[in-house]
Amino acid sequence: MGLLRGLLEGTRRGTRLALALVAAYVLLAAGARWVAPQPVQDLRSLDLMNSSIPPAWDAEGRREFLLGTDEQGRDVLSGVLFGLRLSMGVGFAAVALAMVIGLAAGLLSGYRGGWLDAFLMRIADAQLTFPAILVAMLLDGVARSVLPRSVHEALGVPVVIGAIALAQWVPFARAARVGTLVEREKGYVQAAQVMARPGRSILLGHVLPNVLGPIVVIATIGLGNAILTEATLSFLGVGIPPTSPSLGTLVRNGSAYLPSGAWWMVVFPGLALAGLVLAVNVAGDGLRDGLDPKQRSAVS
Amino acid sequence: MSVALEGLKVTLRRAGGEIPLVEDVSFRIDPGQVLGLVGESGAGKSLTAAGLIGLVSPPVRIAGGKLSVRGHAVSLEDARAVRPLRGKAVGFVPQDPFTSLDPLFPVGDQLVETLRAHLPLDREAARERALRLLADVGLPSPAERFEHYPHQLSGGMRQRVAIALALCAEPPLVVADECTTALDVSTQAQIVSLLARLVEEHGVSVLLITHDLGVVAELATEVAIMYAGRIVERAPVHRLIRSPRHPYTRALLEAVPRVGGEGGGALPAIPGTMPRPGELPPGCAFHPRCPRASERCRTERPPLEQRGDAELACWHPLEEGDASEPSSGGRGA
Amino acid sequence: MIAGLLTRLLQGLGVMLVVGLLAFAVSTKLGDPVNNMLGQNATIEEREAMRRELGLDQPFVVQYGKYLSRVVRGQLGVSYRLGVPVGELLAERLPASVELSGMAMLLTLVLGVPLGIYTAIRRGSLLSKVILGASLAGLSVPTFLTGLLLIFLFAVQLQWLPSSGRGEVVSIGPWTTGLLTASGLRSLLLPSITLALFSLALLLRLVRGELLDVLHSDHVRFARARGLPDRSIHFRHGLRNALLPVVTVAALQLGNLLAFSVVTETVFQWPGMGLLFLQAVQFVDVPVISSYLLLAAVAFVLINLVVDVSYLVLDPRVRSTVGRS
Repeated sequence: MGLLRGLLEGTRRGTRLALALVAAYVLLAAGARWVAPQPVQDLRSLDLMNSSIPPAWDAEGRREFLLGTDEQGRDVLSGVLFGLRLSMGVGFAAVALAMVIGLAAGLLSGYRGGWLDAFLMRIADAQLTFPAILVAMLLDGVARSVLPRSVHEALGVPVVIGAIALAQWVPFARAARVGTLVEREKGYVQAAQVMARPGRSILLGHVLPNVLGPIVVIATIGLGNAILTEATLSFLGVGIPPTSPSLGTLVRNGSAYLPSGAWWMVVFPGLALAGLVLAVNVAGDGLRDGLDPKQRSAVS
Repeated sequence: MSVALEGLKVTLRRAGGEIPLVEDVSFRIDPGQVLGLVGESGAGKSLTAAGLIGLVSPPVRIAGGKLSVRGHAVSLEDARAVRPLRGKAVGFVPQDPFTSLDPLFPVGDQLVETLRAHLPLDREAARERALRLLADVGLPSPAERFEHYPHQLSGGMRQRVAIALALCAEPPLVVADECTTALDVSTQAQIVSLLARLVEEHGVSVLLITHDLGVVAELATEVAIMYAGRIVERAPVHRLIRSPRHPYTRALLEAVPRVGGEGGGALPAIPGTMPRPGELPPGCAFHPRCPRASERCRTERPPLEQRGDAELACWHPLEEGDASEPSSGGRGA
Repeated sequence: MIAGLLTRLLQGLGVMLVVGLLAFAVSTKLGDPVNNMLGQNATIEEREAMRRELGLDQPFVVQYGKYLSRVVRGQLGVSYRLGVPVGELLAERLPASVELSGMAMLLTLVLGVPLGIYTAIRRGSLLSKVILGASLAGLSVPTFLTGLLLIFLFAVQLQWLPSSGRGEVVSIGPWTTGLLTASGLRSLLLPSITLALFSLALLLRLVRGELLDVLHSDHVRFARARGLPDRSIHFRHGLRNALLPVVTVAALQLGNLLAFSVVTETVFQWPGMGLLFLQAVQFVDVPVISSYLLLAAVAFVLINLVVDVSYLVLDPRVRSTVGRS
């Protein structure tokens, strides 16, 4: 936690604001079930008579549906809250998974070296050229065709998480590998080896603390990307199955009604999404600045 | 004509106010003379050099000072007045020849570019001049090296090119900022003798910034010692080395390993560290590390006073022939 | 140097072979082609005949070899969904995608580089702060949302620009272009802005970052100390050094553009390859999927090669060694 404090100390007010915003998002999303006015997942609570109502401040709006409703009578605000929960959940999970995979691969690669290292790095290089979206689409397509429909729907969320994680592990691996290589050269690792401590504890003990800083930065950038990727996949219809809509799915559904002027179905989920990613990006930017040696030499 | 600096002050702006990094630095260098500026890391030597040509950026700024070159005085606070000095009135030789040359252009190009920036020359004339400069600084086969990129030259060759670049507009003052530090010992020796020759041939005034007393002894005519942003002693080189007046100067001299001296025993290190900017103690900045410190040293800062052809800022200077007195708190660390 | 290029070329070929293998595996193992083509009610004999016709009774390696030879000749199979040869489909959709990506790339470069330079040189100015803020927003808004909002504003509310399609296109030989007609250009505007936004923001920040780094480097400091004019310092010594990594990223951005064109083409119903790929994934139209993958692999390998060559041209440190020092 000293690291966290160290990170925060070097940051500007804007960054702290952004972090606070992210925290607010997390709280709202986590508490969606209690905060949301309408339990949108419960189909029985929907009433088609309530379809396509504009936001409350519009002439035709109603106060109980603050941000309006969609074509099936679902409250947009509630939809956004639940969608946030799903989007953030998937985003965090994907980044966490990518971090685990990346760290493991990087640590292993750096410590063992040799053919394992070369092999993993070749894969990493090759993968970097393929954009995450395509990788994720492909994996979803594979899953869709290989798995029977019901299984695919049940596994929808894990598949998307896995796909995004697979597209994001490389930067983590690189950072972990570099950190390991650096530590390997240092004397005390060799000394510990002489004293026959097991390899793993050497690694974890010395490498992880040093690598933690860059990893945090990569994670925040990755989080923003993961959320965007999931939203895009859902928008395209190859992401999370529509039974539990994420923000991307909400936009997808709402986009059909855009030409007729029902803008609220698209704008509010979209704003929530953009706001979240913006906060994450600003926080990540700020953390990165806080980490960098602020030694822009005074002598220019 | 001599070159004179008066009252250079460089500050750093931090939460809570402005801290002086370099204060009250003045000197005068006659043509053909070399003033060595010596001190530990962080004493402010490089900042002085940068301050001379305005190469500082916020939050560091130049808060005062006047530079007189060719009979013309320029206020160093005025950024716009300082710009035309660069290259024309003051030549600069950087520390690291490996990183100071643009890797994407051949060295000849960079010379021609600098020449044409200052002198009304067409390409052909500039090229000829550049070749002559390269020969002047002792670069072997200049015509061939002209087309080479920096990474194709050795460290010593690159430093020669850097010196040539500094001399392009024949400035009356040349500032050499630790220009031998990044080189190996034998190359260092070559560059030092090159500099000595150039000083004699071109009659420039040189401000030689270094922490290496050996280089100073060989090249400088006068030496100024800097501590915590101020000059504490200045004297002709041989006198300073033979009988330093400031306790800090003596401690510095004693810390230099001597070949053939009495073997065994650790090098005398000066106990403590130099105070960082903004953390200066009251009175004389050196008093916490000085074995001669008195009550007055702890409360009143000694002013830099003229003593004949030398300057000194100390309440209890060493007298001539005080070599027998212990210079620092103890030998070894 | 040449050796380096050759290894890169070989590596690229290796990648393509691997992708080809994957594509081939996907195309034969995924789903049942026979089922897909004949439907549920085909008889056993018809299935057997189809199997033989498709060569599915042969050993794997033989199938792969035949697949490769077909691919090289441009025979990429027949789409399950549309019943049309994949090669034709791709050829038909290629111009639309190329024009869209090309225009987006152009926008990215023409706007990204100058804005990045400006925000680096005029660091504290208000305009710089505005531009940087906008770039941060550009990185946070998903491409599909940008497209939808642009459509809502310009097509639905203001009715200035079309909301979908390519407009009128002109055929020049095998190519169809929308660049020669007014409606074609108007149709291209919103999609290319949408596609370019993310890359633009990214490139802008990258150029700024690199240039700032270079402007603080030792050799720029020395250039300043020598009294060189600002223009020379910023552009000759600053920018040229900063451009190296920028070129790499810009080229890789092309890859991103290709990927995100899927989204843009969906939002604007732009008849390009991205939309084709999406529909293929949804339908599990395997021949199209695998062919698209192959094409993408080829494109990426080529892009990487171009980047390597550009380094050769731009950085003399990479170029030298033969002879000289």
